[in-house]
Amino acid sequence: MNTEYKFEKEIDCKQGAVRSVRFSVDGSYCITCGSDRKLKLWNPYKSVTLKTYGGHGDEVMDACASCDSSQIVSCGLDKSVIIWDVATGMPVRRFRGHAGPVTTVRFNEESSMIVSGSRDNSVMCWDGRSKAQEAVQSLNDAKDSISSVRVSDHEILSSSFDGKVRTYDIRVGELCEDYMGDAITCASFTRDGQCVLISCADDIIRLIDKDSGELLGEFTGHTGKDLCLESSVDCQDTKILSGSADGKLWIWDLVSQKVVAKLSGFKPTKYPTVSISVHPQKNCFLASNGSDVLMWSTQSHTDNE
Amino acid sequence: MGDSDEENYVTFGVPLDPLDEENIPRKKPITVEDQYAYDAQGRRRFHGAFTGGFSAGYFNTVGTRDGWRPQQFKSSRSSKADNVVQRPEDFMDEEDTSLFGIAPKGIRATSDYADHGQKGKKRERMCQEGPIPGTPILKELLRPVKETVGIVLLKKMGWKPGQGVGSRLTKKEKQKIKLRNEKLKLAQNNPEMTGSNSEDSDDDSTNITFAPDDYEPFRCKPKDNYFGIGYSGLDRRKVLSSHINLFDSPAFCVQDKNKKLSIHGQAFGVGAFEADDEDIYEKEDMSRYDFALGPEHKAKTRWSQDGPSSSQTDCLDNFTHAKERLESKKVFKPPELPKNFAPVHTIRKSRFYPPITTSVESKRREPLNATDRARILEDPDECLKKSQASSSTSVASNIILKTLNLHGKQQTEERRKLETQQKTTTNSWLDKLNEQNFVKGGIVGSSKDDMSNLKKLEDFKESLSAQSSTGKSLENDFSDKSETRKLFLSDPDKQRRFEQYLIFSKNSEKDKFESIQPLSMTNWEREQEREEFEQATKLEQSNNYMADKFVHSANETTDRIDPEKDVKEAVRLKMFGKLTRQRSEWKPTSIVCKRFNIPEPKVGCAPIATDRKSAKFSVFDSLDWCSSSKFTKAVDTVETQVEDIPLPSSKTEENLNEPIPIDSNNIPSNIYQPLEPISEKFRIFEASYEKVFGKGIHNISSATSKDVEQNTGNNLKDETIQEIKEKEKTPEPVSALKDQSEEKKDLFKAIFLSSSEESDSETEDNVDNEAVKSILIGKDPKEINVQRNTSPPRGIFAKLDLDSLVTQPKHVNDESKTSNISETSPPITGESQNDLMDRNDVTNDKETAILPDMYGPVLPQRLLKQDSTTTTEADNTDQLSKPVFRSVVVSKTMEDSKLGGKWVERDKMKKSKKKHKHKEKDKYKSSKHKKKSKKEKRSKH
Repeated sequence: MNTEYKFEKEIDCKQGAVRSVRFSVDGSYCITCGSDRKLKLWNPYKSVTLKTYGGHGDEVMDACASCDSSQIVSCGLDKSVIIWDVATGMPVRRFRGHAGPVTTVRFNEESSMIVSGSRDNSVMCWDGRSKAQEAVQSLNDAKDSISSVRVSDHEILSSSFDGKVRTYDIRVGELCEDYMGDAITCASFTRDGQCVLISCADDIIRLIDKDSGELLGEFTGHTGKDLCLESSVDCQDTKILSGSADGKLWIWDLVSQKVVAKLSGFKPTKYPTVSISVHPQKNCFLASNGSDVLMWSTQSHTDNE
Repeated sequence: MGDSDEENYVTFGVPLDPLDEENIPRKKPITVEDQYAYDAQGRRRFHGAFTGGFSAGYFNTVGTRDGWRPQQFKSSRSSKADNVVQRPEDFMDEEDTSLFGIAPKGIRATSDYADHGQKGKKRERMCQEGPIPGTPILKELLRPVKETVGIVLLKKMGWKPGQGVGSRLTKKEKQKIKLRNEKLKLAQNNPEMTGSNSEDSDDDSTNITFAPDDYEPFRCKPKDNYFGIGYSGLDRRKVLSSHINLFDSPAFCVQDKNKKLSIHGQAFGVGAFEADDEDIYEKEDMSRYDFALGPEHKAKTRWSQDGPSSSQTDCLDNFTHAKERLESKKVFKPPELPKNFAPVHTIRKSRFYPPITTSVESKRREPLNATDRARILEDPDECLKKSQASSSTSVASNIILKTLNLHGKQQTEERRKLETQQKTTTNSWLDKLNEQNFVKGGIVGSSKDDMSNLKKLEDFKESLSAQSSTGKSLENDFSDKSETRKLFLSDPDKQRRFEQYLIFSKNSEKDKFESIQPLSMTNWEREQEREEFEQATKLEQSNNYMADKFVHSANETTDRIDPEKDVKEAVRLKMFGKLTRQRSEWKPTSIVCKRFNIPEPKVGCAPIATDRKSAKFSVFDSLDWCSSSKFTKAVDTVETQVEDIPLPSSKTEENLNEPIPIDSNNIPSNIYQPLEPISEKFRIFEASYEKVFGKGIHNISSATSKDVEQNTGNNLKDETIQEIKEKEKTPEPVSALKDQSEEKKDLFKAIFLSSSEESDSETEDNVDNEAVKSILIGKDPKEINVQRNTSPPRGIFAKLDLDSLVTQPKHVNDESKTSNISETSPPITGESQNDLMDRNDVTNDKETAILPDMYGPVLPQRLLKQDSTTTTEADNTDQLSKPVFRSVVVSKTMEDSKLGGKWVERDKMKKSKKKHKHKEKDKYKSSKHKKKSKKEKRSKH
């Protein structure tokens, strides 16, 4: 299978450093979180800013769109988690339960619950439906900052700088901790939900079997430089994507563990690529680089279109 | 005649004017309202709506013209307001108090003088009801009398009130009577009355007679104070104001024989014949002076105990002295307290709890060094060493040699030594038996001669043990006396005795202790000292145990760190999976479940107890431990016996490699070993368990001696090699495994041998031993051993849930079966399982021998449950999560690596690692393979 990756777009978000970029659930929009305390909604294909959401007291660190695209939840260094109404651009609710900067936030599948991870070592679950201001549950198992949180239909996956990936299985009522040896910058499910992709601070991305915790593959070559790099699989679970300190988007083949491509924009950049986001349906990648957001897509994909 | 008619009548007076009919003044009757009452001064009285009552104030309003005005309260410095008392007169006019007013004031005759007949007649009439009007005649006739008949009669006879009754008396007669009366009064304790009687003027006219004086009625004085009856306090007036009459004779004097008793006006409580208290206001009396020269007659009270020798004077009248004294009461000694009596009552929660031990008072702790501890704990190695040194030359050994020779067996010198050692150990058992079964009479000193032959032997044996132990202890005591057990430093003799005592107590012949106590000591002192020493030894033991405990816990912490290291190591070796994974209970809140559309897991379960919290091992548990010296001793002896067995077995030379770990135990070169014998025992126990259950020694603590480590490491290596071989040639893995398991079993047995085991070895090798024993004791050694094992598990072992240990490995094996990673072929696993079962059985036998039911009902479950928190158990749970590795080679390599990290030399480590990596890769390939296939499938789609 020979795929070519085509550089599609480079958008200057004009909101300072882009901390993270996220596709919406249907993949038609994307959200960028800027260090200028603003959150922007884009149509990345047309490079159009649809809305700007202001209200955070400090840099916005992460955001997530709800399944019906009616709400956006964001979190920031101001220790708060804010739910935005997409249409009006007004904050609907603001959760202030965390004791430290909130680094990551996710909706659950139904977008009725918000899971946020913070530098106060806790993961908190917020009820998006009730008016309660308190966290519904706080998961205080981590011994260091939470770097990423992912939510599947019955699991909450959190990674922490203490080197452990914690999988909270709600269905079974079990916490499963996997020790990775070094601080973990990102942990995410593969699309099939069988494996967990873990970016470690020792510049190794590991693919772990979720059930047994065994190592399935290691992906190396990129440079981390202690950045909180994100990693992801592509939408077919065949490639591994990761940001890198050299400003490129590294792509490995999942099976052969070999580097397939190192994507970069037209102009050379001095900024690292930290945040990446994969289109939910097609092989279209967004990556943040400094104040820009870059977009690539696979050739085959474009051919199909 | 008309005129004449008129003239016929004589008229007197002036006729009234004829009535003017028309001008008759219409006289209105004066209404009540118009009738006014006026007083004498023409003032109008009786205002208001009512008539009658007082006429007071302004128009009878009790007020003023301006209305009722209350009296104003005024008070100044000059004129204080005095409280006003209102009387009825304040509200009356003067008419009211006049003669005819309502409250007339004036001098009048009292009712006594008023005529009774007239008074109140009106009222009487009013209430009179009857047919006859007027006062009833009977009532007029019968008048109530005011005076008694006697008085009336007397009066009629010319008596006047105030006079006495009787014939008239002359003045002299009257005075006489008066005097007599006064005397009577004095008897009534009325001294005041005496002096105040005045003398009448002395007119000597005898003709004049007087009426006698009226009698003075006897007045009962009502009691108005709270003093005792008859008590009159000291009269203050007399004492303070007027001078005290020193020569006032006592009121009542009794002359009793030589003694003059006097009664003063004092309290009632002093008996007539008692010497009254000497008070400071004592009055002088001439009777207090001696008027004659001569032997002094002591005033003696009735209770003065002068015995029969004293004169008869202290015997009361009509009483005689008893001829025999009453026997004095026999005073019995208070019962002797038992030695272990504590004056504090402590309550056991239930009978299943271990017996409460009296806490030893805290005394200053002595820093103990390793050898001390070894000695206190009777460390077998040390004992062995020293007893070897001493007994080789002792007479006892010769004797035993002789007895052995009786049976015609020639022994080598070494063998003999061994024998003596064994004797010493068994001797202590013998002594215990003796103590238990029959009371040993005083075997002190000279009494030996009287004993029977057998007894002599026994004595000898005792003395032998004493000698050996004294030899040992002397060595010890004089070598490191400076550091230890200087509890009685102030008294060197006592210190010496204490040391002796320790020796005796070690040999469990505390009876001998009395012999070394100096004769000058009283029984009580002896007993005291004995108790003191006992306490001290207890303290020593506990101290020692504490120290041991702490060392132990330190080891534990290292153990705890180890898993962490393991994990890191695993990560380094990319062995993700079971090692890096940690599962724990977690309960999502109901709302989370609801939002995730997931039924709540474990509904109705009690909130999960966090498994991580390991139970704290209380220091105070150790008190039980150290007090139950029986148990510790038992353990010790177990170990000594452990040492004993392999030596004869080595003689058999059939399996040389087997006793290696035990041999290593026997080598006393290690310094650390004596430090913590118990912990080490525990470790060995643990290790053996792990071996049995396939865990490997990876949990063997670092505290175990190097030799053990290495040896076991070697063994393990052998095992791993064997296993690898197994893998290569699958046809004969069973036998290999069996061999291995046999080995393990043997090792296990060697360490945790039961009584039967020991006796077996003994019967095998040295019949002489048996014979000697039978001579000495007349008892089968097996029986003795049986007795040894009966102590219930306590301390560390008490918390071991052996059942769970037994059950878990099965589970593990099941898992290994189901697990897809397990690469061992099914027959092997089956075999290993069987093996495991075998071993379980072995352990079962062994442990249950020590375990519960011996002394009655089984321990309550709660005690057993605790073990889930103990370290051993935690280890086992760890085991649970990663059993597969154990059956596979990987775990071995892992533990090898772990060992390498700690103990093994470099090159060895490398080797193992190489192997390890090799294996690892294999494994990985396989797993990857799977994944790959998976992925490939998917990508092909």
